[in-house]
Amino acid sequence: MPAEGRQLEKLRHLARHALESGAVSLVIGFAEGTVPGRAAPLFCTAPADADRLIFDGYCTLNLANYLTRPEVRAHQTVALVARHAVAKAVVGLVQESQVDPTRVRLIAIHCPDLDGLQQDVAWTVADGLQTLDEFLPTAAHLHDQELTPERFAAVAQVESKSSHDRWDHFAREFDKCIKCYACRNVCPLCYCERCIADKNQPQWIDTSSTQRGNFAWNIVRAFHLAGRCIDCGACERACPMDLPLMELNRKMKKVVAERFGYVAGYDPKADLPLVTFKKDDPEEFIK
Amino acid sequence: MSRIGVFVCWCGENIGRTVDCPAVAEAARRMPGVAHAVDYKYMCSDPGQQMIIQAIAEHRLTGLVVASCSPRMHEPTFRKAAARAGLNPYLCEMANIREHCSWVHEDRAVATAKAIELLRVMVEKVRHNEALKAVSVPITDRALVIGGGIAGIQAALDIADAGHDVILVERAPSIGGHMSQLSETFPTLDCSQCILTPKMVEVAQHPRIRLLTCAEVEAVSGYVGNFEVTVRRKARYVRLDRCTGCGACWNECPVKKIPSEFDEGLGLRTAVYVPFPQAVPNKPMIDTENCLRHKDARRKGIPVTESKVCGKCEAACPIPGKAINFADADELETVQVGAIVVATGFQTLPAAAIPEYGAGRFKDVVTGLQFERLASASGPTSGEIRRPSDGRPVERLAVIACVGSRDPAKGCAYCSKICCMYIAKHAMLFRHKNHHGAAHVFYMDIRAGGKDYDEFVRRAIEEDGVDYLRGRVSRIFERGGKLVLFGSDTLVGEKVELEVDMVVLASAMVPQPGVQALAQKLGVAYDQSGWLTEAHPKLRPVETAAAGVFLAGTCQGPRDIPETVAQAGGAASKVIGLLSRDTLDREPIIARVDERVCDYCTACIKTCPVKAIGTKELKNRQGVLLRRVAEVNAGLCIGCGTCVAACRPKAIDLAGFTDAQLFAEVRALGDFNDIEGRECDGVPHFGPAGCIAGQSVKSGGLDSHPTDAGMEREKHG
Repeated sequence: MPAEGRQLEKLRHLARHALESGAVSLVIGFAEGTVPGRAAPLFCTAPADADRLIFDGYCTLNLANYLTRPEVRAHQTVALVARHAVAKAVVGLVQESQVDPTRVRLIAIHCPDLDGLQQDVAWTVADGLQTLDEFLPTAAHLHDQELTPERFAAVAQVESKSSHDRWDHFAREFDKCIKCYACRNVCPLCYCERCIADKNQPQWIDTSSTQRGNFAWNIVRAFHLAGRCIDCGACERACPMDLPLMELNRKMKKVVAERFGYVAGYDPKADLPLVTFKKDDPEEFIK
Repeated sequence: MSRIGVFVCWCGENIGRTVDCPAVAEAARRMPGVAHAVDYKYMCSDPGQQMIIQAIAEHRLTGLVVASCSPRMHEPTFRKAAARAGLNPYLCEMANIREHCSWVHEDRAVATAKAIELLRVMVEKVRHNEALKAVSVPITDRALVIGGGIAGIQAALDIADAGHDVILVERAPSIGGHMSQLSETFPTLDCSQCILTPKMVEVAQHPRIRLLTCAEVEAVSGYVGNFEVTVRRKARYVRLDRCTGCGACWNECPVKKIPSEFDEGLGLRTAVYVPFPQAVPNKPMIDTENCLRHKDARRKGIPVTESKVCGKCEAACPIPGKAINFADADELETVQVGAIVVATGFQTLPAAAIPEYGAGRFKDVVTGLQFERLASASGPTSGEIRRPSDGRPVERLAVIACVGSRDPAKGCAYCSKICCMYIAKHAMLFRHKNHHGAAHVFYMDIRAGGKDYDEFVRRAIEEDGVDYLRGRVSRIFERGGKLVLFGSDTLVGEKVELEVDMVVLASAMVPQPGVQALAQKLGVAYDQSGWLTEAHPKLRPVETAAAGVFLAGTCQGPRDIPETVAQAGGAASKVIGLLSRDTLDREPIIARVDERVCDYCTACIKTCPVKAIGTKELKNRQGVLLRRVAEVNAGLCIGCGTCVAACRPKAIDLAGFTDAQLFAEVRALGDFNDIEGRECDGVPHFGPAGCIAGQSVKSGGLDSHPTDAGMEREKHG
């Protein structure tokens, strides 16, 4: 049996055993999609469901997104098939008290970042079901790779433009937006029951797909994720119009790292830099 | 249906000169929802206010906009007028057409157009205003005074004498502060201790004052009328309830050569000690740094109670059950108070900051405070002026003024204010004690403003023969057991070289270390030198930006004893005024949570600077927890709006500045239609009725981008 096959067996065994033993009542993973080159989320509640689990380079959806859904919250304990980006999102949800860490288990997948769609990736499954606290030390070494210049190549390119060209660039890109809110819907940290975009008394964000509405939506979303975005890229992959959303999110990530020395997704006990009042804040205006 | 009344004020010439006020009123009459609009020369005057009151009744107004000065100036005036006419005061708003308009523009047409815009914005806001009710909170009838120097003592006594409880917290083992170290005080030369110690004793004996020495403020929460303060009571290792201050312990203590803080290092003390004989409380404490038993315990890493070393103080203690208590530990005590007086005082610029004068290097270069101890009858030399190096009498003395003060390079750009007086006093005291000796004073200017102050300096020069030299000393070095000063006399334009026995440095006053940390706990601002900042430099000199927190003495900046005592009395009267009331009305400008929308992400809880937001559990009828939401404590909320900004789904709103109100204001601003010839300036801005860039609203065009020139214009205003 090839290496991937053995890992798949191990993945299915872990999920099956977790359900059989009663350790969890739900395992969220991936099954084959309806079209080639796509994977669909799979919600396993019976041990036999585990046999349909797969993992490959097409499994890019951030499954942590489902943890805040009422149907999932109804389960006492849930296991996630979690590559690193999924675990980082769980960290964010724990920080913002959306998820109780004692009720989440991870079937941790170790693989490279899934930035684009590619079928062949080398991946391994960690031994046993892990709690978040058990998982975090195994990913701590990845923290330093979050800020490598390669990750910010697109950001650097936008930064190098004049303000005039930057405006043109974003005007052109945002012009494509059709306000489908797919970016919001796949984002594990966009969990607000009533998004600001749906607030209509008063309506700060124009719902129409005009330039004003598109600028307002995409910029407000980037601001709402500043210091929180865990850089999984789900929004950009979900966008049917190919907006370069990660240019904005990564720029925010860079600024937050520079100003606050903070990278989201590693410490569930860390203070969120943009919403934490500190008496020793270096900015004078807050004292 | 809104019936808004608009009142446009000329403010005499202040607004009327630049803004066409009748035209503004005329424009207001055409605004939707405006039922009545007038202009008048002085709206804040009695006839002006009467005009408002009559109009409210006559035109059945549902809201007011007064277009005049800043709300900081007259909002209370006009809101009170509204209330007198039976209109909820929070239905009255002000449009600032003075500071924001007439004072900053010259072109009458432009200023008038802008005044109309500012007014329209506020009319739109008032249309969305709602009647608000002041939040009434009870007041804790007790004050906290931080610092037991003369400022804190005076404030505590004044408050307590008026019948209110006071807790006086002092960091040191005794109250008294710097004043207790002084020999005589200018300009009358009365003995400092003789006038201070009766007040110290009065504090200790006052039934309404609770004195906590060896104590520091650890944390402060709450708000005016209802502060909760955590005080750390440091271990003293002596039971105050048992000790009688007999002295048996410190007579037996074998560690006798510790430099005394009270004598500024010129005298010695033991490890178990009373800082000075008149201390209040006159009971010792154990200095853990130097105590042999504590040292032994630290070295062995064992609790001090398990060490068997020394223990002579405990053995010598004649009290049954012993007053010495090695098992003592720091205690945290939480106290409730309604008002706080900060009186943390000053220190002098550390010697390390003045290397050019050899302070700390040459033993006979002393600070002003050290000289006070030498001149004091209770000091280490019993009042004789002797050299610290060899104990020989001083024949020739030099005093240098402005050491650090008025010197931005030393971080003290300010004048320390008291030095001109105390150096005259030092030279004078020296001449009184040594009739044959010579005293030289190097000064920059003599600043002796104050009752009998200049006379005092003249007396030093003319009657006591002190030699005043106008000029700076560049450096000091030792030669043959004497100190040599290089300096200049700028009045005769000559270099001066002087050989003296002792030099006194009038070092700058600087804030107490750690006062900034305390200020942050209290929400009090401080300036770049670290002095605490008053609410208004002229009209609110003892108040701070934090309601219920007052300042007394040198924590606010350099000042002398009479000024400190007067200010302490001022702060006390503010505290008495506050504590004399049963309840306090607080502005209802507070945050409120829409529980239907709140996701309990806790951003508001973390971002609240006054910890006013907590958690509320929503349960069903069976008591089962459904979910958690954020909840604002109306008594604690200061209405800063930080939580509103942090809330992503906009589940929090600020009463008086609601989302709907601000949105209406922005909309009104974006509507440029009735300003003739007004075109968008190309700077992108957002707003439903505004433009995104480059085009006027009328065209609705969104097809061009802002020019870099437009951005430049924005930068340069």
